[in-house]
Amino acid sequence: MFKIEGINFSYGKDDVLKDISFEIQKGEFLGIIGPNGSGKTTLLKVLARILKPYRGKILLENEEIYEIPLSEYAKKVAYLPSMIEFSFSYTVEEFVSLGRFPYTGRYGQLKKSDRDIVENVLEQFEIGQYRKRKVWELSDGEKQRVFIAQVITQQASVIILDEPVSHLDIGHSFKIMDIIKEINRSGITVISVLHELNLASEYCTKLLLLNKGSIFSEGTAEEVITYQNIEKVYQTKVLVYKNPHTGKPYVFGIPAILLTR
Amino acid sequence: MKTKYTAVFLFLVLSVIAGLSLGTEFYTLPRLFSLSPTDKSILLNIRAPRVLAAFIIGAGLSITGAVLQAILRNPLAESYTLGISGGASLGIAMGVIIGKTALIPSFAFIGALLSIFIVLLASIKKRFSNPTVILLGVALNFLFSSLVLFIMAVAKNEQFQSTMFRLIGDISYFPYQILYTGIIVITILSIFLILSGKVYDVISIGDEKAVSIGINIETEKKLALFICCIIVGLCVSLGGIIGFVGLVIPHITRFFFGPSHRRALTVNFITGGGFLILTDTLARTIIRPLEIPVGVITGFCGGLFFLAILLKGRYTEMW
Repeated sequence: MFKIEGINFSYGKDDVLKDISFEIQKGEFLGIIGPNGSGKTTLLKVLARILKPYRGKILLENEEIYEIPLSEYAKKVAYLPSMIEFSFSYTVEEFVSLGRFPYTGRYGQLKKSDRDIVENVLEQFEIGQYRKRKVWELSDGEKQRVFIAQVITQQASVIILDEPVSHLDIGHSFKIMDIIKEINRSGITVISVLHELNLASEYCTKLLLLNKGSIFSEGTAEEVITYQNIEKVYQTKVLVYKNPHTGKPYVFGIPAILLTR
Repeated sequence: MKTKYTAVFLFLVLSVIAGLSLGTEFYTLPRLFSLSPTDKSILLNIRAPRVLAAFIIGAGLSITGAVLQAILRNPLAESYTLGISGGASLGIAMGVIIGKTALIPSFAFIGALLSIFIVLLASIKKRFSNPTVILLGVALNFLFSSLVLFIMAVAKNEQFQSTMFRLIGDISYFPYQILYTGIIVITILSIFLILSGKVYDVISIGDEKAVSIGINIETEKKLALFICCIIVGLCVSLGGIIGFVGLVIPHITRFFFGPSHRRALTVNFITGGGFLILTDTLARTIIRPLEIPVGVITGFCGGLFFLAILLKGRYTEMW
């Protein structure tokens, strides 16, 4: 689906991404993990065409992404930033409908088919009852569902998410991750930066561990989440066991201050 | 929604009637039906053009205010607070020195473009927050206004001084020659802005989001700013610096009609026009037979409104 070939990106002086190459197959759920400042968000922005790498190639279904018109790209790849700087008091319905812009275009109107899609998504995400509420009045968990709903109305085959659950409690985190997994199971490729290693381990089909702008490790959760990898990249002591329920690797942090006694 | 639209329409009709019938001469309803030739001449040649001028200036300032707030995602943005009007007035002063009356709107446009260029360049380079961008705009306005005042003080030419007086924000001396050009150009550009409303909807939720929804953000912002500068240039050429119309009207409109831009911009155009007809009528009747510049009244209302937004603190929630 996506083929990334040797990309480098820099905001100015130093390279934030160094010679990154990897591939994503259709239907995968790729989790990008790594410490703060390792280039995770930058990599997502490059894939979303918000930032342009100065070297390398990115192919989407064998087509160089910069050859695709931006409005067409929006029908194939949708992106949700980690923060939406919220301004106007759009209602939930208005906000979700904005995801149909690539189809209606500049001068177009929402057609019956567009409205049906919005309607289905509102239903699917259980936010139909809030449709007339203002988005900023909702709780963080509800807001995140509205934001993801907007991404889904774009009907892209790849969705890119930047830390979709970073500010949510454990209950809401699992709820949102379940929603994303369901989207993934319906055939949509998902690429997501995740801060929480254990969520990444449970939900993703493939992981990419970044360190200082380079790929440190790549593969299944079992291959990537080992105590050697995590200790080296995150510079902290950890234990990695298996979650008895799912069999996936589970990371336990160990406070260094307790070890020194 | 239908009642709201009716209310907007009635507001416009009432303000037009008020604008035509009130002033140094009062026309009561019975008198309107038995007009003498002089009365007809006053209505057709003096009142009607002035109502038209007030309408198009108000409409232009409001619609640009709403667009600027959306694309800069700044609730305090408008042509006045961003220094665009100030730049336009300096351009006009330059144009008057050179002495080509017909070219004055072009000078105003260049001045407007210059100041928005300075404001944006500085705020991008220095990563200014929203209120700081406005501070910069206000500072530029002061700078440009004092330059205009300087030019006015140095020039002793009488006609020149009347032009300068107009720049304070007064529709009573609007230049008749450019009224119809102004109406046509502002209307056409406003229709374009209204039709592009969806683009501003998407831009208003953030640059990154807008790119991923397929909008070429650089091009769209430049285009919108360019159009705003043309409109503001014409408005300032017609009526000078009239502050805060572009701030008050978009906020009130958004409160009643929501933020969706196709609807909001259409309503802004009409209510902004009606609002300025009313305030201009007030300006020429409040201490009859003396007339005060309309900018005094809009400045007073708008200043209070601006303070209210600032003091409310969490001003983002006003949107």
